[in-house]
Amino acid sequence: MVIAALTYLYSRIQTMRKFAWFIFCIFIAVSCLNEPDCYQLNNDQIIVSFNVLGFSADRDTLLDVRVSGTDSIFYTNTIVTNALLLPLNPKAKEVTYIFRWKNGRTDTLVAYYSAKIQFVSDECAQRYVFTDLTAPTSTFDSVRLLNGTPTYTPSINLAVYRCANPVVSGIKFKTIRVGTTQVDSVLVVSNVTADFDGQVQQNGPSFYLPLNKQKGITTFKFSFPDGSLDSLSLSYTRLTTRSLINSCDSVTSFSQIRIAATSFDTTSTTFTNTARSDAVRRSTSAQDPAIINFEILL
Amino acid sequence: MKYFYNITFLLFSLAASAQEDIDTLQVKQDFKPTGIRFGTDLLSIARSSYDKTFKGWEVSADVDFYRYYFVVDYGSWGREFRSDTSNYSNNGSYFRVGADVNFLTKDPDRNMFFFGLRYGRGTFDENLSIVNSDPVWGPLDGDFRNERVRASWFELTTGLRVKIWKMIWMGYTARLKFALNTSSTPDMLPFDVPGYGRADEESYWGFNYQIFVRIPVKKQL
Repeated sequence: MVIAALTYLYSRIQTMRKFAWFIFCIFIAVSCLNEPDCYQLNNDQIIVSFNVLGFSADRDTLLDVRVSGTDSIFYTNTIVTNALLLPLNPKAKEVTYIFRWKNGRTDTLVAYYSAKIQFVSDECAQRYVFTDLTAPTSTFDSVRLLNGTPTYTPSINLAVYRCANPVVSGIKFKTIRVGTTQVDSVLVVSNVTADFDGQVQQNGPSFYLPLNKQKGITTFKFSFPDGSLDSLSLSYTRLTTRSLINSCDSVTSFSQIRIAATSFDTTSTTFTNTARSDAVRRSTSAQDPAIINFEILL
Repeated sequence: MKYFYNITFLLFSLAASAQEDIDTLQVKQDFKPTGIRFGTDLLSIARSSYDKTFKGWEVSADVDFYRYYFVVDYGSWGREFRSDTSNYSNNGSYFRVGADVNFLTKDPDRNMFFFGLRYGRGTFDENLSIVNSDPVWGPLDGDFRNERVRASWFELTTGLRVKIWKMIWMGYTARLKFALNTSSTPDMLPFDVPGYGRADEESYWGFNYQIFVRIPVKKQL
């Protein structure tokens, strides 16, 4: 009887095998796609970009970033040209980031979120799923939420902004080494001072010179190890406007910057636009972050 | 995208089969039920014996209305995974209701090749214990529990029912499960939903190999 039943079943299956095998193969193929994948299980980091209101990405230097809930220190001596990956605490619903900048400023950003654990498999164990990201508390001048769900692929979650302060003009000294090839000068300078209380910053052959908001010209004294002095005067046009951003004060912009006088034995001065390829017309203006406005050929 | 392709495949198959059937549909339509089938899933029973992570069973019943079958499934399953760093377990029950459309209407034995639709609901508990440490955040040990989680979903089904002997029928049902919705859980996202499968999948395939007993309630025309 059992044999007869099996024979009957076999004949029926043969009749409908076209359907049976087709569907069964599809089922097996698709089932294999449902195996758990242990790669990149957690979305436990947010991406924060740093920007200057009215300008482009910030280029300030971080001393470090400290994060509540851990003793780990992140991003020591890092220029924030690129966005930063910051960790989210799976044991908490919020985390505070403290940014210490090389210029002495300290900023705080508090991120709130939902963190839920989910088992994945006995091989992969568990993962944490972070959603509902917000950042209403911050000392930055503005914070914009771009994506409230941290993703596994690079995507900026928060864009933080500081008010623009375009009061610095950059110069770089260059020299001719062979023929007409220009290279960065190895000029050794002991000190550079402005004729007001602005602070000059040096980065190799580049000097970032603060411009005086109170006057139409600022003069800088360059002192050298042998005791000699050189001077450079920059003249410019000032325009003070009220910022459209409530958190920012009025902004003084400097344009039409030119070298009014100099004691350097220079053969030429050229405008440069090393920071913005589309900013030829703005290369005579102070930017934030500062750009090299002049290259001085010694 | 995978979910879209699966749906498209099933609908295309359904349309093609329906077209084939229209050409031969000559049987008198009688919507009075002729029998009730009661069955159980053999794969769940077999899997419970060889798969240490699974314990479950499922029973089914259907009744015919001409070429349409009203179907009810009820089942229970529990999963348990143990590793050095985590222990997970869940347990719950579920039911499905829906209808199948038979595309072998001229078969004298009422064998079936069918497509259908189901609505599923389940309730389950789950527990997770972990012993873990993170290089940034330190120890992440913890016990998490979801109680009385409710879930619902839909299924597109297809399969065969073949008469084996007198009142005994066998067959399989392939299921494309989708549109899972679970009640909110405070600290842990569901991992495995009884009757559905992995909760982090937008769509999921299921498969039953079933044996039925058919009790006739009306003499077949």
